[in-house]
Amino acid sequence: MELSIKKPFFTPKDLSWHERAKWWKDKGKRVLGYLCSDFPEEIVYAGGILPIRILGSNEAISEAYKYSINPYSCYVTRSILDIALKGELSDFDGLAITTTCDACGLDIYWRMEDQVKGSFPFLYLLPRPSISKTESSHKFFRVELFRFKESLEEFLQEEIPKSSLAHAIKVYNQNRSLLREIYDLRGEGFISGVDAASAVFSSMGNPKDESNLLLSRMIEEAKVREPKSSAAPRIHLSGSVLFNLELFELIEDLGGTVVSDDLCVGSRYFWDPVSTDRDPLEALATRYLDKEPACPCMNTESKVEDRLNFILMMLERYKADAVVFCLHKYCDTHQLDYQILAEELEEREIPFLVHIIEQNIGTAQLRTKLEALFEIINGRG
Amino acid sequence: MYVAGVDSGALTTKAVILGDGKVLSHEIVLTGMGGKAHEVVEMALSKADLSTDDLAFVVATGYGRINVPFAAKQVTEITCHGRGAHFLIPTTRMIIDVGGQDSKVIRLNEQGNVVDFAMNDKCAAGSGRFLEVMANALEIDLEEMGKLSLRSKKTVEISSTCTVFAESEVISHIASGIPKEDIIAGIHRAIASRVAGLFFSKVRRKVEQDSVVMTGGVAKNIGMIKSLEEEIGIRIIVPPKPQIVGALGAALIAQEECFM
Repeated sequence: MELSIKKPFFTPKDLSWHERAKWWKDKGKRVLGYLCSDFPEEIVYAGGILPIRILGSNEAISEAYKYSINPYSCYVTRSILDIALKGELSDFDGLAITTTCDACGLDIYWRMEDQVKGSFPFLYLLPRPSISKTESSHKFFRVELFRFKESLEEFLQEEIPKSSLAHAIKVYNQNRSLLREIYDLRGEGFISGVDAASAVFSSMGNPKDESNLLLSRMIEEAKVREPKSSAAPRIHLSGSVLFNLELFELIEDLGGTVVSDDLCVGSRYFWDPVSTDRDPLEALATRYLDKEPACPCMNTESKVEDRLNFILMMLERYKADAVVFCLHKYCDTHQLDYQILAEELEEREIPFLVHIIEQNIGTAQLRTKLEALFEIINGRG
Repeated sequence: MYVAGVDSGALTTKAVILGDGKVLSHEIVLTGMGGKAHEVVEMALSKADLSTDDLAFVVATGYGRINVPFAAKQVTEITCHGRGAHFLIPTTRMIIDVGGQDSKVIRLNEQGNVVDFAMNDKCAAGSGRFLEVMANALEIDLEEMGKLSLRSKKTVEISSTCTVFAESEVISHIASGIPKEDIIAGIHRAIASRVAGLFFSKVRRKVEQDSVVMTGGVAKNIGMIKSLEEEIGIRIIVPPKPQIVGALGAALIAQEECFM
């Protein structure tokens, strides 16, 4: 199977989870699923395993409710559990879960342990402290990363040398820098909002070295193109996980364009690089804890301020006109931050809207909201 | 020069005909299954002794705006209600629009441009449909609800947010012999508290007197206005024909288009 950006390995519907795992396993290699943009994939990659991001999907829940899954957890949590309970991840060798929020982190882990038992030869809960930017939290997380690496080595029955880890960091940093370049090209109209988002989505499921080749080709092709006019309403998307590119497509259909974001499937995944001038695990611990844009689950005192500053920086960098918050129903962490971010944006007279999503993005009502926002931006409002 | 605005809503379709900046006629029909945009414009035109050939521009709004083939432009109901309300009442800064299936709060600047808005999300609890379901359960006409509720001496509590659960609550109140007017007052308060939540989510500064306007069909219900005024603590202005404000806004935009 050949990989491509246009049909990312990762994006939904094209391939089943079985197929996603199988093509790599057919090469005699292993596959590990991970759920969150705050998971240090580099360690897995250094062990020769392919990390594949599992986002959930907008398919209806068919199995999870039989297992007394909390119907008031976000759809991401319910959907991931449903996918696993339906046996769709049975070809995965492992699953690693970072402690982020209680639903997406702990609840999924416990249920995977209890109810999907035996499905994963390697199941790991990575405890991430909820405080960043302190010496003690960095130390703690470094120890936890070391323990994770040890467990993985035990599972692989071989050591992951420091040189492999350093190489993985290099490859991942290259991916980050390519994605930033793609965002910059998008900002200048050389790449569409949908294609740039597609590049991030595909990077979360393809082997990073191959992904980097694809992204480099995408950049080369984009640079010789005529840039599109930037007159359309330019949107910054804020939120967590989107299952697919539907929202990016809807915004483009309505005449706008996504030029920037702070999504867990966007800049939150790749923006900050890992430092290469120190011990790899220490560098990873620092990067994954302190990275911008911050995870809303963190309790660091400056978190919301840091998030706001990141959004403001992106608005300026990509000349965005407005912010669209697309938040999951029952996602307290994002919704609590939203209240403060909304007030701050309002004070600065930056137009924004909030839309709550569950299984689907709810196109009918969202269409009217987006059109009204575009009318405000275009002066019609 | 004549222009028209059509507001294709969930429950009713409205048309307004403007001639040289003045409202010449308007019409309201039930939307039904097929959409009644063409019919309602024809009816409004005949009231003004005009025909479709006389129209220089038509703007469509409302949830059915994309299914009005003869409209040259589609504009959201948010912008249209803003434009219409500001035209009628220039002091308007906040609009509460409660329609058939959704409720909205729209904030305007001094020029009457929309600066912010909020809509109820995927649930009809704070909308006209909620009132319809309750009128049906109480076996009374929707139009009677407002006046009846003013006779209430003791407002009952409707605690369910969901329309279907609230209907069950209403039925059990009827069964326990609570007077209809007290139940209706409770229904109004339930909607008012939801709409007030939406309202305050968009209020950051002090709300000035005469700046809050209510549009949409539900604004015709006097009991609903009274409950909302209690919840938000300020007088609400209701234009004479609150349900045509969106269509009026669409017609005003049609007029602007002609001069562009």
